[in-house]
Amino acid sequence: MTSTGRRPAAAGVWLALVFLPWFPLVAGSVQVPIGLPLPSRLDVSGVRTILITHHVEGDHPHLELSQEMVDLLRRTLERETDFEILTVEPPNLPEQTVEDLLKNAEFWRSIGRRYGADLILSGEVLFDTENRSGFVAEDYISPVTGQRVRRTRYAEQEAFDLSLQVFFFSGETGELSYRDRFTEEAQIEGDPVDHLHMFYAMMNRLEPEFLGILKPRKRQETRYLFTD
Amino acid sequence: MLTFRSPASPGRTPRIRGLLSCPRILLAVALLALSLCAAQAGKESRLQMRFGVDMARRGSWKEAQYRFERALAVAPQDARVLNNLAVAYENNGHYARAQQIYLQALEHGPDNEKIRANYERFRIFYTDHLSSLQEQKGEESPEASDEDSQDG
Repeated sequence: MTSTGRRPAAAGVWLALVFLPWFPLVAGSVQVPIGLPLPSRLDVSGVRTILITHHVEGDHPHLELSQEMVDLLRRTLERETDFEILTVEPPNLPEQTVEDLLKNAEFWRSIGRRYGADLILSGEVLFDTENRSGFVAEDYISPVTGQRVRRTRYAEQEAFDLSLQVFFFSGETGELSYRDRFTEEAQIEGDPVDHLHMFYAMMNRLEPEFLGILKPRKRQETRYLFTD
Repeated sequence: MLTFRSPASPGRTPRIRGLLSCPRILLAVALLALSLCAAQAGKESRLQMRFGVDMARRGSWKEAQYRFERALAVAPQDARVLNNLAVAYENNGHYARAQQIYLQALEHGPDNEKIRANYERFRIFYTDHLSSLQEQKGEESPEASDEDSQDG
């Protein structure tokens, strides 16, 4: 009788002795930010000097897009990279289509030699604006009845469409090393906004992607880590 | 109950021999010894894990990776340790190794939702990363380039 009464208890003791040390493994986790390193998209080993040329530009009533791009890219690269950005009057481009320009290695090689540039940055910039003012339908809560009411009203709206292509050429061979394309769209409601202000705001949003061509960057994500 | 006597005292040896001749007691002693070894390994693994997580939260990911590797040395089949090590490899840019370790973690902890969530996020990123490298480097092996550029 005594032995049958003690057996389950003894078994419990032994089980506890065997498995108790593992019990703390059942524990928690935390979410942590991680930065995933990404190499620069263009191999810039051996590159010290960069020349920025004028860009192929779309028509815009108020802005000199090519000059704005040259100024902006020069300031950005000086601030964010260790390259020497050549401070010269930006060379003009031959009157050619974009595709012909890309194949014109002789032209790029010649300006590479003339200015002592390891890398030449050029591109095409288009900045279109469109007036989208008109009547829009909207729902609102009536302050009198408290009911949802649909009404139409006239709204001033302006749409902006920025398209940027960048081309990198070897200053030594004149060959195209890398090309990329970035686009950005925005629609503003209300009073008309300054186009130059919008152009810079939209370029500012493209900046991290653009810089990723020339310098390593980190992509921010989150992951779970187990604490025990 | 065991009573300890001086070495010269008669009667001790037969009593212990009698206890050890019982198979149940022998088994229990063996299990207890095994359990204590496991406990020691578990304790070591937990210490390394905690320190590793602390380092990771402070941004010292190289140290975190080292600690998770130490934890894995004593608990090589622990899905949680494998998960943490994979995350450290990711953060330190060793993507091919991270993938390998994530797959091991999933093998040992297939039902762990957090490991699955981590791996799914990593898989999306890594596929995108490899295709970018493939586009840039043409026919060059992106896998090799990835590890070459990030390791060390």
